[in-house]
Formats: sequence, C-alpha cells, structure tokens
Amino acid sequence: MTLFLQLLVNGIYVGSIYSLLGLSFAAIFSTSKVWHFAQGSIYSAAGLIILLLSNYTNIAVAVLLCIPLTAMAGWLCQTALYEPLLRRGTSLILLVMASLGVGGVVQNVMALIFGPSQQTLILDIGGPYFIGGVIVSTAQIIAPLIALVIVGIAVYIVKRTRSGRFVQALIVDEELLTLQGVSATPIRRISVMLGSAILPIPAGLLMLSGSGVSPYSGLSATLIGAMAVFLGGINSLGGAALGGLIIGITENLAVYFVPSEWQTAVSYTIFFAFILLRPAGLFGYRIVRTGL
Amino acid sequence: MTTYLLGVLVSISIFSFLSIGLQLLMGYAGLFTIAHAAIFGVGAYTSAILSMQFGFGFFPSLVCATAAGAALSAVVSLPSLRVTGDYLILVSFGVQELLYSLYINLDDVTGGSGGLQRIPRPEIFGLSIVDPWQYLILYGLFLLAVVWLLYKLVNSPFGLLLKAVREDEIVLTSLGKDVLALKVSAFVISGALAGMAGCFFASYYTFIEPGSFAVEVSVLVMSMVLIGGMGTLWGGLAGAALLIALPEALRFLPFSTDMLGPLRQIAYSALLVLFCFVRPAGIIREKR
Repeated sequence: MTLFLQLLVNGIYVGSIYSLLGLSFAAIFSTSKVWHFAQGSIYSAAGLIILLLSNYTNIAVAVLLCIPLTAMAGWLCQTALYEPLLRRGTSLILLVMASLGVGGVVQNVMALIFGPSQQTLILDIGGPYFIGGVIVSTAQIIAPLIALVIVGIAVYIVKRTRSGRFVQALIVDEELLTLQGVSATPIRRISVMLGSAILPIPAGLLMLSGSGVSPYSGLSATLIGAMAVFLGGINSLGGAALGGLIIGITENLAVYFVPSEWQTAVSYTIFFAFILLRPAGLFGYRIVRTGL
Repeated sequence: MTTYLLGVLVSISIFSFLSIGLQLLMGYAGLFTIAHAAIFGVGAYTSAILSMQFGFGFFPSLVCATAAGAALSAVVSLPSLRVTGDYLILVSFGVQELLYSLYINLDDVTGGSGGLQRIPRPEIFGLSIVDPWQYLILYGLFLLAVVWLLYKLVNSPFGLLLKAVREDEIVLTSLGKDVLALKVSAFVISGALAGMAGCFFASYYTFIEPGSFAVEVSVLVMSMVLIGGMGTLWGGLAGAALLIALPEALRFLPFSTDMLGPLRQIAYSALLVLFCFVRPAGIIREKR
C-alpha cells in the first residue's frame, strides 16, 4: 500500500509537469493547427538556460527570466516559419518537416553550447517530508500547486474573459471568426506566444527534483504534450492539462504492475487503446481535418 | 581513401532502401510517419539476434527482418483506418518512442544502450563478404532489383491510386476504391524495405545500438525524401546520396570530433528548412 501511495505521489508530480506541457501544446496546436515539434526543443533549451542562469541567481528568477525568451521563440516560429510557409500554400506534411528541421537546429546548437549529455541542477530546497509513511520531496509539493495555478489562470482566461472568447472561437471555427471581421492572425500569434511562454515552468519544476535535462529531451516532451492534448480533448485546454496529469499518474502506477523497463510501453499502449476507442478524447469533439 | 569512399557508397546504398520505402509512403501516398527509424531498428535487431543467437544464415535472417518490418509497419498503419492524419502523426511518433525505449531497456534481448556487437558478416554460397566493395556489389544488386520492382509498381495502376490517396481520399472512396487496403499496402511495402535495410545495416557495421534508430534518424530519412524530390523514386536515391555524402565533407574541415555530430545534424536540419522554403518539390521534380 505504501508503495502504491509513493508511486501515486510521484505520479502527481510528474503529471503536473506533463499537464503544463499539455497546456502548452494545446494552446499552440488548437489555435494554429500546426504540429509544433520545435516546441520540445524550445522546452529543453529553456531547461538548459535555466541551468546556466542558476549559477547567478535562484531558480525562480531563472525561470522568470526564461519566460520572455521562450515566448519570443514561439512568436518567431509562428511568424517567421509557419505563416510564410502557409502563405505559400505548403502542405501540412512539409510544415511538420520544417518544424522538425527548426527543432533539430535548435537542439543541436544547444548540444554545441552545452554538450550533448544530460545535466542536472543540485539544489537545496528543504528536505523530504514523511507524510503517512510516504516520502514526499519539496518539489513534489510545489509542482502540483504551481501547475494548478497556471492551468487555473489559463482556463479562466479562456472561459471568462472577452479575449478568451476570441480564442475559443478561433479554436472551434476560424472561418466563422474571420467572417465576423475579426482577424485570426493576432489571436493565433498571441496564443502561440503564451503557449511557448509557459515552457520554462515545467522545465524548472523538472529540475527541482534533480532530474536532468539534455538538449535532446525535447521531442519526447512534445510527444507527451501531444498525447495529453489528444487524451484530454483536442479543443480543450483544461482537458489537455487533465490529460497530462492522467498520463503522469498512469506512467508511474504502471511500475506497480510491470517491471520498470516496460513502463513507457504500458502507458503508451493504454493511451493508444483509449484513442482508438474514443478519438475525440475526454472533453473534445470530433476534429474535422480530413487529409494531411 | 578508396575504402573510405566505398564505405560511404555502401552507406548510401543502405539508406537508399530506407528512403525509397519512405518515398512510397510519404511522397506517393502522402502518409506521414515518423516511425521509420524504429522499423529500421526492428529489422536490424531481428537479423542480428537471429544470426547471433540462433545461427541463421544471411538470407533467412534477411527474410525475417523484412517480414518483421512489414508486420510492424502494418501495426503503425492501424490508426489510419479510422481517423485523420493527425492521429497518424501521433501514433507513429508514439511507436517510434516506444520502440526506442524498448531497444534501450530490454537489455537481455537488445543489449540495451551498449547494443549488439560482433554481428556475423554475410556468407553467400560459401563466399564471405568482408570488404566494402563486396558489400557494395551485394547491396547494389539488391537495390537494383528493388528499384526495378518498385518502378514497375509505381507505374502501374497501383502507383496511380497511391498518388490519388495523397491528392483526394474522398474522391477515391466515392469511386469505390478500397482506400484502406491501399494505405495498409503502402505501409507494408515501405516497412518491408526498412526491415531489409536494417538487416543490411547490421551485417555491414556488425555493431548496432539504439542511437542508430532514434527519432533523429527518422527525420533524416524524411529529409532525404523531401530534398531528393517527393513522389519520385530517383528522388529517394538522390536524397540518400546527397544527405550522406555532403556531411562527410564536414570531416575534412577543421572541427573537433565532438562537434562533428551536432554539426552534421545542424547541416541536415538547416538544409531541410531551407528546402521547405526554397524548393519544396525537392531536387528531382515529380512528373505531372
């Protein structure tokens, strides 16, 4: 029983990080409909920059300093990469490849600067606590709280504010939005920018636990973000965050039942089975795109 | 120097199988998959394990590797049965990462991160294949046969139907064509070729490790298809030749060895982005 609770605690911690990744990918994917693989590279770059900045200041400040950087990177991707390509009528396959190309350049430039191996941050943020026989580290307490706040803010903005309604409209039916005389481009750019701006936060939370970040850890992060989005519902930001949490918990609880080498295989297989049965995800509705 | 150049040519021939197979899938049928490297890996590990643990000869392990590739590819194609291309991206990505994690974690089977060493070299009717020029002849013959077969295939009604899948699926269905069977066959053929390439790779380098089958390799093969020319067989070959040969030139420039790996990748990725902007059709244009 204690093992189960321990795994659950870790699952919630990992799930909080994944939920933020899901939120980020959802914000970008649902508004721009582009597979932004470069998001992962921006995420790992953020992690490495936070690592670097931590030599000069504490981690919270490092994360805050990184936020405008990633926001700018996201903005640039949307404005300088996807929009020009879309204007030329590039097919979606090519857009994905361009995104992979940019991601590849970013992650390898990072590898040249920081070296290809994983780097960790040694921090002292207060010892682990013993709660009901379970060891809970400070990171495992902070992460869910921060994730909750960020997701809460995001969902509030989208559901309750006027600008949020524009975002919802863009997600659901762009054509109808433009027919109303509202330009979709600024809304999209801001959504992508905000989605990218979130990225230093899960990067920082990950490093709080002493986990490493490498220039190459980006693509897996994008995959998790994408899985969270498809699990929770493609058009739902809150759903994506929930999806991330579920993936994190499933991944960790799986260790209770199977040896840890099969952990990834089990969680992916459960995910695929779910998707085949319910393609729209938990809170989403059918997506309309027919070809790629 | 000649041995080195011959080695580069062997490498190009191996990757040609990969890129022609992906060409069929992405260039002709317009189906996106990022799992190609994982299927390449399945072929490589299958033939390596069969020849090392079970004493399979070259041809039997080649056949098994090809079959394994085809089967795995068919599994990846399952999502395209029900839902849109977005799911294909997601599932192929998931399969790639899943297999990669299995290659790294299943130490007893795949040797883990250390990989498998001393894979036996091919022995064909008593002839040992050891030098690069011998490999080149062997693989070259296979390549010739495959290219000839595929050429017939893509110039047949099947090839036309594949292109139609890329252009407009709905029209095809309304004409009563079995789009499902077309997509799955495209996946199966390309998977078989990737499995073959895996066997060739394992037999030439005699050492395989998971890094050769990571997602970056999938992206590399995709770049070969794009840059070489989408929708043409020659494009697949040209892309393989270009993207293997060009970064080899980097070796002769004064960079330190640990910079070479990332620099190579930067070269590939930057070239990819450049082509997306400047010449999306690739070097060899498709005949319309």
